[in-house]
Amino acid sequence: MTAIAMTQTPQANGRLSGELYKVVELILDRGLVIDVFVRVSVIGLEVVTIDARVVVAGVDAYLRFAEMCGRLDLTGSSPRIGRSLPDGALPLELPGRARTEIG
Amino acid sequence: MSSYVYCVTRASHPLPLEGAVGVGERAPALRLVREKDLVAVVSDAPENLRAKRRDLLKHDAVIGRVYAAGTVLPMRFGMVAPDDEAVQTELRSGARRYGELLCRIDGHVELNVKGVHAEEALLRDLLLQNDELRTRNHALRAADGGRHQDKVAFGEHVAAAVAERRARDADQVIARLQPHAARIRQGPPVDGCFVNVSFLVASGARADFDAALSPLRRELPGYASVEVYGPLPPYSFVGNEADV
Repeated sequence: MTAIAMTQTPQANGRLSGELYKVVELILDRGLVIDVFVRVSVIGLEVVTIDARVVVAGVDAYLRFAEMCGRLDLTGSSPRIGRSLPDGALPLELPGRARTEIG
Repeated sequence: MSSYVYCVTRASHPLPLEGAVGVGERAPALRLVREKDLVAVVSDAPENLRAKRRDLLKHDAVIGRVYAAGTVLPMRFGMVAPDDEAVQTELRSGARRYGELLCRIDGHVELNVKGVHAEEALLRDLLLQNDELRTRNHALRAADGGRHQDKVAFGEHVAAAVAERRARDADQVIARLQPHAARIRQGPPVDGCFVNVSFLVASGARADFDAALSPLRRELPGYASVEVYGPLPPYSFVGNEADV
């Protein structure tokens, strides 16, 4: 394992950058902190994952939910039914809709 | 020159750091600060460090090198000491704490679990299962969207139902995976995730943890998906709050 690590570039070492992006909040908000040391500024984040919205509260969120619900087509097949169909049985003439319903 | 600190580990660690460089535009060389049984990996601290992708990758890559070859205490991104002497002083005064933390995470990995709801499918499910919400949605639609306050009131009800599903599914994820973990810690809230939680899992329990994922995914509603990231250096289990 060590030998492999040493032949890789620093960037490729350890984990893929794509996966790092998925756990970036841990690197920024977890990890060992030493109180007597300074923490450099982390303003100007290029990474946006950590910029968590409170997605289920506030008037904006309520309006967004109301509007999303208003656009839903409840007469179509439910996602569960869509999921239970084998791939070949999906309605080929409605590929976009089938994908949406599968979620 | 102040010192940027990457991680702390035992002096006996092989520290395979050849070719690795530090954060910042100048890619500073890494060096070791030793104090008795402990060693810290540091570099010159760049001026004007920001949390850029490039530097996050470098920070994590240095820790990844050390992690691949043994137990490591990863620092949070951006910790800077006045100089190497201050790092040494900290290793001396915190020797006991760091020794205990290293023992606690020996032979363990962090696995981070994130769960996401497909929002449209979730809302559809809520409306199909809740007569009142469905009726109100229909009424608003018939009124061409309805009045602002009616929309807000309806949306608030939907939001409460969504929050309930989020909490329920998060509880489910934790309940199914916790038995295979030595420790557990909630991650910071992440946009779009109904759960973000890290587990400290012993190497010997890894197979059981992985095996619990398939039944969990089957039990969760169709609009919920769960991904596991890791094994990671134990970022979530080296703080004072790691017991929470």
